[in-house]
Amino acid sequence: MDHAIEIKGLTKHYPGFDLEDVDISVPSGCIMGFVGANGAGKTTTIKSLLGLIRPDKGTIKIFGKDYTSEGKAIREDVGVVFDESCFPDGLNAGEISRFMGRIYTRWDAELFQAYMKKFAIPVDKKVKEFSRGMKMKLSIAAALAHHPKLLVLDEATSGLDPLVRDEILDLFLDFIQDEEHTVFISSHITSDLEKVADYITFINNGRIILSGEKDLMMEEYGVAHCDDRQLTRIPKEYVVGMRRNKFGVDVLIRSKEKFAQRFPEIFMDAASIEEILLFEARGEKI
Amino acid sequence: MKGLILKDLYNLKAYAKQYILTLLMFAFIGFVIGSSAYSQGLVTLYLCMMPVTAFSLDESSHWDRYALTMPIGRKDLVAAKYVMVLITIGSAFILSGIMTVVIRFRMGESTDMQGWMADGLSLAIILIYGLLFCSVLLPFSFKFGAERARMIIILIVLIPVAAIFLISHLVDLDRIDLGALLAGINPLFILAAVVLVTFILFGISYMISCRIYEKKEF
Amino acid sequence: MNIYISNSSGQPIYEQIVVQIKQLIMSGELESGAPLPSMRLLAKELRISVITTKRAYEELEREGFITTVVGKGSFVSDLNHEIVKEEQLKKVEEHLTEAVLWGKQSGLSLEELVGVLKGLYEEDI
Repeated sequence: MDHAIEIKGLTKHYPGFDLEDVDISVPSGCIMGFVGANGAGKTTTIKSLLGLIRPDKGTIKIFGKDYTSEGKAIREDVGVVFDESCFPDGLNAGEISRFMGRIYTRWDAELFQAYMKKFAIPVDKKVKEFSRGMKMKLSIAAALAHHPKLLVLDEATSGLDPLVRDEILDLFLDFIQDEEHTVFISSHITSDLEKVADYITFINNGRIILSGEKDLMMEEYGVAHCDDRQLTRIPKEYVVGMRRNKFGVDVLIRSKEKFAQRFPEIFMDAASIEEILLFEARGEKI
Repeated sequence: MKGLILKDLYNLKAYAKQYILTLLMFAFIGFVIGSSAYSQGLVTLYLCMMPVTAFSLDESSHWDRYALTMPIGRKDLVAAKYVMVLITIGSAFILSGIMTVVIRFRMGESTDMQGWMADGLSLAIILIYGLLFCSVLLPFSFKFGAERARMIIILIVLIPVAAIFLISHLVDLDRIDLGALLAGINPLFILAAVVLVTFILFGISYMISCRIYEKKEF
Repeated sequence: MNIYISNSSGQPIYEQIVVQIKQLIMSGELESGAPLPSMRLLAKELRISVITTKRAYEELEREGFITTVVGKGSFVSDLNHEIVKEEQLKKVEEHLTEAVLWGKQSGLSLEELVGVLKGLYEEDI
């Protein structure tokens, strides 16, 4: 199986928002970051992927199987984490493990317990008494404890402090040691993705604006800082977008190596994932 | 589906203490007064609230959207709620039954066959009412959510009461000789028929809920 | 085995890994036939993407420094002396290029430059 997720032509219309013709392919064994502003369509895409929403158009395949017809079996192998803990408040970790064991065929109660110990979550403490970080860790542990092949996370690390995010990142990296395992994570905390993501897909206003290998993107894009005069000399094909400030213009450049050779005098910086998103979404076009 | 029911049971566990204490209180009062009708009615009403509570607990934690990412079908989720109803009403039935027997013996009326039949009838009515109540409530809860469904509860309770009230005023019941009407038919037969119809309606309610849930988006 | 990467050096991360592993091999710290950490483990420990480590290993294999056996992992190649020499020559050339540039900038002649080289070579460095 070479693609864990294949979304083609996903379209969904809402009053006031459209998800238009979204194509996403996630190769197996890698981490794909799904980046976009709030309201750009990340959650709608993920909900469509998981069958919570019915798309108006498009096909969705997970592990090469059609999701609409084989969803139930596929979901044994998919672990999901949303931005909020979805477990009923009144339950504790022990109870959660017991009923989850009746739902998933591969639920590993020992593994779940090991995670609880690792995160210092008392087994008899009620979820409503958990801190946000603990709730997230619980959700992630639950997603991992049934030995899934695909992890899907929707803004699972928002609102968490850097220490907790670091712990969670470690979990993903451990998960991905098995090359049959894949992670699809949507986030607007791009610093996490910058480090470990293999692929990045950018979405804005319901459309995919950029997708590819992260390393190649980092090598392709740069941010040039120049003044208006220099700006006029830059050919259009290099410019993705620009932002003016009182003291100059920042320009997101593509093909930065060629650009650097041609304009060695213009100062250029590496572009971060966040900057690529900002320029693509909010930058002025020439 | 077993897992889902287990989850609901764990969920309601917190309310269990409250329930048991209240039920014990009702039982005690009933015992003292010597009226089983009181305890029967309250037990039923009380236990009928459980599915509603289970629903709203699910909603407040956005459980549904998470549950649907698990290897269970939408039908399973619906079925779990219906089974819950059967469990709670079954419990109400048994508990009321026990209380009725106890109170009968306490009142020294254990040989009153007519009395037993009347008790049996009211127990059957509990079962019927409870099932009908939930048959209406559940599809509404699935469609509109627990909070709005609560308002429906008020209607479900009021409408039969109002109907009975109206009927008893508009129709002079003395004129209709129910005895003659039903003389030929075994009352047990009628009761059995009503119970059967109730279960059928319950089944139909399940199918309606399934349809509603299949289409729902989260 | 010590590998680190710098996020701010401007040099692509996969290159940094290639350079460091080459050094470890050349210095003998990684001997012929020694196993290398798996691409995934390296990615995890350095907190970088698996594609990056894969690329680094592929480059090292292309240049003959390591061999990757599917299912078993990557191992240091039996070092072909020519490859090692070539690599070392490359390094020398790199450094000498700098010296030549400086020399030319400062107006040194070729003889003066060679003289400096000779002197340094004969010293006990």
